[in-house]
Amino acid sequence: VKIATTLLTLLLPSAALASQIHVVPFSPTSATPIEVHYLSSCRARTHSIARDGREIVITALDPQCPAVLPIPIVEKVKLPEVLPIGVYHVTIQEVGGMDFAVRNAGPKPFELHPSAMYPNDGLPVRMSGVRCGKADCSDVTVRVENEPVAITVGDDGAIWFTAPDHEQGLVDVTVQKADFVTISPGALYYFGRQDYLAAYEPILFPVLFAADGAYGSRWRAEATVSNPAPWTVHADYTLHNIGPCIQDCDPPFEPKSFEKFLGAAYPRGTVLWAPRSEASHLAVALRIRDVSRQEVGYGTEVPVVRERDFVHGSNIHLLDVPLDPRYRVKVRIYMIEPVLAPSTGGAVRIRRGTEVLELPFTLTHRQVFAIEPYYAEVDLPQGVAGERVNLDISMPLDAIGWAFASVTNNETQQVTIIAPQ
Amino acid sequence: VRRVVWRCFAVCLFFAAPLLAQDGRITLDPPAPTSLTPIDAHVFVLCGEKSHTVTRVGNVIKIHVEPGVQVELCDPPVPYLVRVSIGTLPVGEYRIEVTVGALDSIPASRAFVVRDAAQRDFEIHPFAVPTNPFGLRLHLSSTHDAEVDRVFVGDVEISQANLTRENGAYTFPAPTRGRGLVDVRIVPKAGDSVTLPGALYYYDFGAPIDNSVFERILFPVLFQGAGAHGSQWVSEAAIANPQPWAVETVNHVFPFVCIFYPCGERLDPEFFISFSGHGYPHGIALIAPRAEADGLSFSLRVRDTARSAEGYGTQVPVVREGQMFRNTDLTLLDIPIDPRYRTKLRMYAFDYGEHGAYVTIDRAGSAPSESFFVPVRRTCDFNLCEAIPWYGELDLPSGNVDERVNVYVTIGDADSPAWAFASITNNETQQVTIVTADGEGGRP
Repeated sequence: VKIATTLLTLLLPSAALASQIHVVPFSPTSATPIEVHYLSSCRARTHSIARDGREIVITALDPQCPAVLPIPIVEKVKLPEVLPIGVYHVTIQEVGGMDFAVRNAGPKPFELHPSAMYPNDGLPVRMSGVRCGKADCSDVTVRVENEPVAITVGDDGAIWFTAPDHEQGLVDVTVQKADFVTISPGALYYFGRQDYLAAYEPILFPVLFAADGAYGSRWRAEATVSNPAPWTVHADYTLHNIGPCIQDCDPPFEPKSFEKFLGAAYPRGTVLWAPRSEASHLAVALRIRDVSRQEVGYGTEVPVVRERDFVHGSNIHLLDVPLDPRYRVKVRIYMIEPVLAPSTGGAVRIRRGTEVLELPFTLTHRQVFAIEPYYAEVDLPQGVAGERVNLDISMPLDAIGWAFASVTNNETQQVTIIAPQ
Repeated sequence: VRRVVWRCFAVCLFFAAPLLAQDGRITLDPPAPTSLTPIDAHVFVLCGEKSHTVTRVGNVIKIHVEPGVQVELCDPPVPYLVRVSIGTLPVGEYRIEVTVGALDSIPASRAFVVRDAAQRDFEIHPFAVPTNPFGLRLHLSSTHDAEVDRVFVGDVEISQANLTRENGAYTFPAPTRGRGLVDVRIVPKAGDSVTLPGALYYYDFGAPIDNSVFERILFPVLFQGAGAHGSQWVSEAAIANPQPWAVETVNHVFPFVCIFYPCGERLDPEFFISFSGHGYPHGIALIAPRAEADGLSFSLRVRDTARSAEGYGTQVPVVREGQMFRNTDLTLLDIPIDPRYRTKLRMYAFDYGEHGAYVTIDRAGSAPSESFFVPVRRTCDFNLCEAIPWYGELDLPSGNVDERVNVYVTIGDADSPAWAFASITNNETQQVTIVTADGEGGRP
């Protein structure tokens, strides 16, 4: 059962993210403008948008469809208003539909961690910001959608309760103290598997491996994750280098914990999916180091890529990359599970004077571990001494992508990372 | 306790100064509002808040804060953040004026711009245009390749002779105008005319920078100089504008011999420059229009040219405003204090003051935490001060062989954007490793 559960967890992101429609941002709030993206083979002149309560209908007007060989495009439709808290259904006429939740961006009378969970997770939830009159908070009643829940009080005075089972959707939480009731609208989000990206934020560790390289080098990656918060973070990840796993493969990040992960088998990178309400609290770091020459230096920091650092549907630019034959340069390209992308191809373009060199790549995926990103790598050709170029990396349609170049000195094995900035 | 005492000290210094009358004391969330985003104003007052009111008269938003205690009893002064919900505003230029208690004067005020966020059939770039554009070409494109007959910028019609079609888009020189937002009206060859409300923002170089229009992009080190053990350090930087329209920045950060304006501020389409930075060992920001900043690309490396045969240097992040930290401690994990390395912590904050930073070194149970107060300063001339961060640095004390620590930095206050990194230099090889701040959770 545990093996099945583990595999299911690992496969969840890919199963959940494949869709013809999605909203941007993935987790909209009552303060964020929303854009609906969908795949089409026709370019509409414009769109009509009708909203009736929680139902939104988008219709493409005067679509121009090529007569032969339709080429998929991504249509992007801005909603004309920010939406109040709630769960909505958007329908694209003749394409399909999807549900999405709009969460509260306004002031909250109390904080809940975690604030998103599967319907039957039964996770412990920490509530802070409530002042109790009694040490055991017996003067306070907490209700999850009008149903009182049993509470306990932590050492720091915070209230804890177990999230009751609930069907998918947003749920109000209220706190009553004597006759005074405070309400936090949509404070808990019970999400389904199809809403994975709305509830979890991808944090990419681009390389996490231990391997021997050229010229006697022995590369080791060292990742660190710190959870300074006083609550547990239930993330989906596979950073531990534990091989086949039966039980407690990747345990939650305990409160006020600091963990190191050494050289797991992810040369193509791995994604830590953190609950969105907790992701910004986690601190992360990653370094690669040639331990055969560890007296030479402390290694090279590799950026850990948070969602805000990914490009979404645009090209990636890497500047001032050397083609000098003293170095070997490898470009690594990543894509989070295709949200819309029907193809997985792209190209690295290098302009050298008037000539443009195009190096195509195909992003591939090891299906067993869906928690790995789609990945491709391109070795740049050698140029003349001192030559530097800019790279223009085109990605699949509307891809959530990232890339970096590693520049390795052939003699000293010193590595320089060139990441998009 | 030391932390609290220090914070109180810094805060008292900060608020004892007559800074409340300056523009920067009111911040916006989001920092660059649009016609679709609800706006919160963050107003920093002393002595707490009993209540506040918001009234809007035309384009002036008046916020009155009733302090929680009488001002004369407010000793020591404690800063208090009042979050004022303004709601959604139509496209336009606005001014917030804040009054506190019984004072008739306006203790704080600031201007801001609300941009259009509606989906339109046409787009025009760049958004920010100097009042005297000196040939800056605007780029007008249509989502469906519509042909354009006439274009008006405000009430000025662009002559047909100046309207050029390139790669499906139209370009034309921006007309000279006075400061402020202006609509652009497009008359297509087929169909009705389209108005883009507040499509361009004309700004005056001499006027204070509007932070709702421009953002600061930090280059943490731009310098050349000799270091220890015969090292010769150089910052190698690059800037590219891959967009098909020009971007006009408020300042420039690369060496430029200027005879006529624009003096390096204009980044033409497909612009690229690589340069050896110098003169800013404590960092400088490129002040770029927010609407175009995301499309710019950067690169920055530090390199010991005395050992250039050994490597290509070390990348130092160029930090956009959205990557800086606000109202939270900065965390740097797994920093070596091994005596084979020298480790320097560099800290930056904008909209701050000469208050200092507070650094805690957490030795992970092997020894008690150590705390340091680090003064932060900046040196700038009047025009460039917006671009110069408040800066402090600390050489971490050496520990045991292979010892690593976590470092927490308290810098900045009242929504000021802050950032930090540690440079770890091998004493023999001069190889540099950079560790940057990550995470908003602060110290466990």
